[in-house]
Amino acid sequence: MNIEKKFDSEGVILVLRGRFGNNTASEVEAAVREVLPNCKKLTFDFTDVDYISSAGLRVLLMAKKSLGSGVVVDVCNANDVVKEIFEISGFSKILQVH
Amino acid sequence: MREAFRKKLLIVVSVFALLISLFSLEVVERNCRDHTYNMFKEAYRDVARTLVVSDRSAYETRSNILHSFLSSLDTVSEVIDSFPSVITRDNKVFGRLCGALGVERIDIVDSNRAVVVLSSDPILNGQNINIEKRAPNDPKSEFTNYVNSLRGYRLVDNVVDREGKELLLFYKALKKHPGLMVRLAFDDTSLKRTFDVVGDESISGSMSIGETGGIDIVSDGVIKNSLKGSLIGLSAGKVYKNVVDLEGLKDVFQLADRDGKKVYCSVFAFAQGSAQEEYFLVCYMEVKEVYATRRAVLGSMIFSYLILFVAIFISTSRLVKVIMLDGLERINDSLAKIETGDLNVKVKENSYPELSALSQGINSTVDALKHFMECQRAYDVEQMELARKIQLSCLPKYFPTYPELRSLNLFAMTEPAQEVGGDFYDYFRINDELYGIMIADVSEHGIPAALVMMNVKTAIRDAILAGESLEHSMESVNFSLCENNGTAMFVTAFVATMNVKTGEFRFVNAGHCRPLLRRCGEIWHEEKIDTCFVLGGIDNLNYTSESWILNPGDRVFLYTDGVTETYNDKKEMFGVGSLQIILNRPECDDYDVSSLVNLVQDELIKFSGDEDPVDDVTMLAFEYLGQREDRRFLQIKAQNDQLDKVIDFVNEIISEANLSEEELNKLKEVVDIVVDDVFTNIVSYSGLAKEEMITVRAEVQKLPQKLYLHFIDGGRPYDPTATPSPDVDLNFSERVSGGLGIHLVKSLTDGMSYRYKDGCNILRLVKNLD
Repeated sequence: MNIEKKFDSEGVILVLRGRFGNNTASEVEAAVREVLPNCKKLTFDFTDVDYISSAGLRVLLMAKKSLGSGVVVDVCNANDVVKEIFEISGFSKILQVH
Repeated sequence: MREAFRKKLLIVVSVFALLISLFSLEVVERNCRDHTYNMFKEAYRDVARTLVVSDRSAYETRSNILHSFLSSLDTVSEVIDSFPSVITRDNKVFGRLCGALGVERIDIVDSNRAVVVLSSDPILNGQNINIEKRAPNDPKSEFTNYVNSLRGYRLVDNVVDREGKELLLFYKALKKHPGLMVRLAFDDTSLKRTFDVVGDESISGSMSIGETGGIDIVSDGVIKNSLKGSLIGLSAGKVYKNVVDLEGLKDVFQLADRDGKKVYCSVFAFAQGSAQEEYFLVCYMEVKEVYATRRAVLGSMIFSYLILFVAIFISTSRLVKVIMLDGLERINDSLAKIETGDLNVKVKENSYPELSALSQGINSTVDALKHFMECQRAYDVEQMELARKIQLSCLPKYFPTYPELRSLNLFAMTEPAQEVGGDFYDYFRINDELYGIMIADVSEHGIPAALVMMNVKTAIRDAILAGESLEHSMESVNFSLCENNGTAMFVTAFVATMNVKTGEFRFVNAGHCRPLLRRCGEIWHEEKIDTCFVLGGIDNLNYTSESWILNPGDRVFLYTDGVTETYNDKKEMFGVGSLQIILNRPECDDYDVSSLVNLVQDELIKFSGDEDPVDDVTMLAFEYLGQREDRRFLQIKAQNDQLDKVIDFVNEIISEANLSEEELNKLKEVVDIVVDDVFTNIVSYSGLAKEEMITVRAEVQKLPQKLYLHFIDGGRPYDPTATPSPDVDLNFSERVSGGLGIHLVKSLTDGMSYRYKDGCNILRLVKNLD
């Protein structure tokens, strides 16, 4: 899993590449924890994500929980399958999926 | 119905008309008789009145006559007393006196000597006073008594003179000639007449009744007066022939025979005169006159009845037709439809409240019946569905049944023609090397076949599992079937064992369709084998087995006659030739056995079209793979870092699917998630040591395109399908993060089932690719 961090005026963008599954969830989780402090908006760029498993979803849930309701968590450029996963799991209700 | 009703109505109306006519006849006749009787009474009263009046006037007349007699007597006696010389002179004076006084004769008699001294009739001179014969009738006593009561008058004699004239003789003493009496003789005709009031012609004027009727006056059994003079003086009994006693008929109206004519008569009693002499007044009238009006009255009556009853008949039949029959016919039409089984027909007859009520009654009855039938049908359907489930559940339904078995790939299906069937197949492990395979067909279909099928399947399986040889198994099953087979059902069966190590396929064919065989690289064909007799036919038969040695890649196709004996709408049979042609299609080389069976099934459906299946269809196909390396299997260590290898393996199998690249990529993304979650789950929760292995089996079925994934591990029994789905609508902070993976897997696949068998968790996932 390749994780790239970008910073802009609004917040942090994490660009993920590869399989966001059980094996890689911990990597993403570490990266998220790193950027959590002082983060006003967290965006995940899913352009090159092959899939997301339940472990990946748990990382997103952890991020949303840690940041609290005041902070927006965005997922952008998700493919159809990933969007479907968000629908099936109900995550589309707590995340902003673009 | 209408004709029958009219007939009955006609009969009823006719009977009523007849009864009323008879009644009318009786009434009219009675009326005639009553009327006649009233006329009789009227006439009787008239006659009685006339008689009373006549009687009175007769009495007066009689008095006058008597007084004129007496005054004549007085006159004569005065004359003689005054002129005594008269006695001595010749009797010419008497003659003149007689003429002057209207007296018949004047006699002077000597009462002492009883001699006529002098008479106006000189012959009597000197004769005894009683020389003349007494008249047959005595002087009326009433009259005599009266005269004798007067002083100076005496005796009244009634005699017949020599000329035969009846004379009344009155006596009176002469005052100046003691011993002498003057005697006057009167003609008593007028006096006599005063006594015969009833016989007087004058009353006969009031004696006629109508045209033919009249009154006969009867006294002492003799007719005293009658309109017909010739009857007077005759005995009443002679005139009234059949009447014994007229007096007994007083005030009764009755039929009699009078003077040769049929009459109605009534008898009234009447007492006449101061002596109250009793008379009977017989009123009569000829029968034909009594009933003279009957014919006319009755005729007009019956005519009007006829019109009335015709009107009643027509209006009743018309009204009943309009009110009832038409409505009933419409109801009957609806009922006829209902009778044919269409319970949705409603009787809509609302023309009259009674018919409306009848319609509603019928409708609610039919509704109740329909409801009951629907309940029964639903119950039957439910029961049959249950039976179907039970029957199918005893056949292996998940394929591969033994996913861990690499050397044999088997697939089978059955489709009962009805809910339950008599076909069956079975596939079971005998030991690590030997697997039982069978296909069979019970004669008949439906529930009886299904019950036999369950019995036979269990019996064969039990016999083989008990370690019996194939031949002995078949023989014992055949024996027990024959023993308890009251219904003469039999079973064709192909029973085999497959040694997955050696490739020996040993079988007994009990009257079943011969299997098709395809040696690796060759074509499907029917291998000639020995066929034994069916099971359940004749007991104590010997069954013999044969065997083939199968090489890796060899395939066998077993079927029941429902396959080859499927018919199309032209009544053509599918046949074993068609079956071989389909199996030998070039694309079938790439097909696994499940695709082959599915292909044949599709072709059968296409062939039969809209024709309903008449027989159960069952197929079983397998491929012997031997000990070859099978690329469908991956054995991998239970470690998280092995996940990528598993995903790559699955992705490679998926690539075999006949899909576009885009579809393939999307499929891979979905399947990868599934594999990720399932594999991670097993590694995390099965309790397997790091060096222990997990078997992943992945295969793509070509027809219809499906991906089958099996995860087989020897860890703790764990059924992921039993994990409840997380509530994805809950607030994320309340969400249980465990179970989410299983939920995703369930959502992304089309079938997920779990078994724990032989110490292994077997998770089976199906994903439809079409």
